Amino acid sequence: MNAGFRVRQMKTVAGVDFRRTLGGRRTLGLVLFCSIPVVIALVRTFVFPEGARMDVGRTTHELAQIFSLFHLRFIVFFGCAFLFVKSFRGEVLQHTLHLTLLLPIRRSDLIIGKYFGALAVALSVLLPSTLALVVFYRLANGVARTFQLMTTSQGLGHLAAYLGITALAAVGYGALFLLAGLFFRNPMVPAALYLGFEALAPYLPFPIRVFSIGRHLHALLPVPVSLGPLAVTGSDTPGWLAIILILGVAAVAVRLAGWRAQGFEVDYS
Amino acid sequence: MNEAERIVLIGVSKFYGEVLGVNNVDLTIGPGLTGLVGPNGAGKSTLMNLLTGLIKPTKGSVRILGISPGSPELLFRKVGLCSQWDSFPPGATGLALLEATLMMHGLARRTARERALEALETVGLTAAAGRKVDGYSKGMKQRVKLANALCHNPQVLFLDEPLNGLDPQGRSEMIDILKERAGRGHHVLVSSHILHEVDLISDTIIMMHGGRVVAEGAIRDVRQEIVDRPVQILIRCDRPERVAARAFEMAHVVAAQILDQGGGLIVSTRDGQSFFSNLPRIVVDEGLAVETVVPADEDVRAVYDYLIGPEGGQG
Repeated sequence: MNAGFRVRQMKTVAGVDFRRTLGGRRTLGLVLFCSIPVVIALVRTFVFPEGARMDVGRTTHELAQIFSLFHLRFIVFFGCAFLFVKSFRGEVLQHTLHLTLLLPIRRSDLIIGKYFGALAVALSVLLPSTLALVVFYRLANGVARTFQLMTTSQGLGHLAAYLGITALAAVGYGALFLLAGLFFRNPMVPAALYLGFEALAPYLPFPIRVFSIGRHLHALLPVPVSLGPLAVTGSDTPGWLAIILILGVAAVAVRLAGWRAQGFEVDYS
Repeated sequence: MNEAERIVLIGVSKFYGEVLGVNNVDLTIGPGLTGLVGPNGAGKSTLMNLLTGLIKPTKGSVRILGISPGSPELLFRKVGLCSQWDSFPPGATGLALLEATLMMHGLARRTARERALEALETVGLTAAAGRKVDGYSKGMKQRVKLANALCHNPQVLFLDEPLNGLDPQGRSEMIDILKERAGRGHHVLVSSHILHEVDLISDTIIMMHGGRVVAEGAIRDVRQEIVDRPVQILIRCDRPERVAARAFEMAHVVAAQILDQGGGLIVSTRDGQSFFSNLPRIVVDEGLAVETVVPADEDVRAVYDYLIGPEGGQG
């Protein structure tokens, strides 16, 4: 079976999963969940604008904190948990996995297709959420000032960094949660376990710490944030290495998920 | 016939912890229509799932036309399964379901759509092609499952209780489709606990009970191997009492039962061959008018009752 055909099969799986997930009723809940940061940004801008309107530095810093401590840690993290665990485990719960496993495709390829299908949905929902958070939060500085800020190289750079971090978070967390979906029925269980792992990561040896996506993402933030108790723990990893490590962890997780899928048995009991 | 033309299971067992699924199954299945029968819990569905790799054997090996179920990319080019499960992806229409399946076989979207519509037409679902499968009746779901299993024209078709939920016309149409596939030299394995339907479908059976294969082969051969049960022969004729009297002169005849309506009798004998040899002489001597002489227990029901017991089955 040639590589081109296998890629086409993976694209078909991704496309079918993307359409089914995005058209599903549960995705509306996810969209509403991802709208929370936008609501927070709007409240900050229009309900409590005092003090920030004239202070660009303050909104920049607040935005970085909101993004790091809330958007990344809560919205992106749990949004990925929901989407990627559901990608495989959801089919077990819906009793439709057998239909997928009866297709003429290697299970490892099937997993890759499902990963990219879920990733496409995640990016479709999370990137607009990040974009809206950044733009609406900046509105605290006034519309004209926001426009001016967003069109400077620094403003655009920050926006690109936030979007890039969101995408990398989806890539990394998504792969880990896809793998978790082959072991856990409830996405909250691996999500809670992984949150615990990330909190402990700074105290763990380097080879284990590498699997902390949050640490690597933190290294990419365009603005340093003060670290509270729930913050992503700081990392001195250079940006380029952080990106490579995230992609590497994702590749390993997807590969492991493929191996796990080889031996997966259909059991709806 | 080599392994590449047969379905072969060697020493296959499946245990779910302490619970037995199937135990030490050795089978060789050739082309044509084969009925897989047994009571609920006999291991029929487990066997189907093992054949398609949906579950893995605890021990033993499975080969479908020489292909391991562990290679789905090769297996499902040649195999289709109409499973026991009635669930479908939420929101999927019959057409979208089949179209996605066919695209996975490498067809372009447009060709996949055309082929999907053809398959839906084969099972009589053209009018419902654009409707969501969730809203289909039980019978329509059986039909769309069959269409999904055969839309890529597989050489091997496994069907797990495919006649459940179908009305009489639907059953007849389904049986015609299966016979047509078998007539083309394909392998068609149909599990059912409705015995008279297996009789209609197939001359070859695999009978399971308690996770084991208790009999396999042509129904007549299986019956003949059950030597501890007398052969029953139905004779429709005038004056059946004369046949009964003459039959009892033969030492191997153990019983003769005149039918209630009087138009015949059932003779039970331990030596069917001898009885058939002597019957023409009886007919000539007595000047009987004989309408039919047929084995009365060479069907799935009788074989099932002998091997498993009447309480084991339904229908």
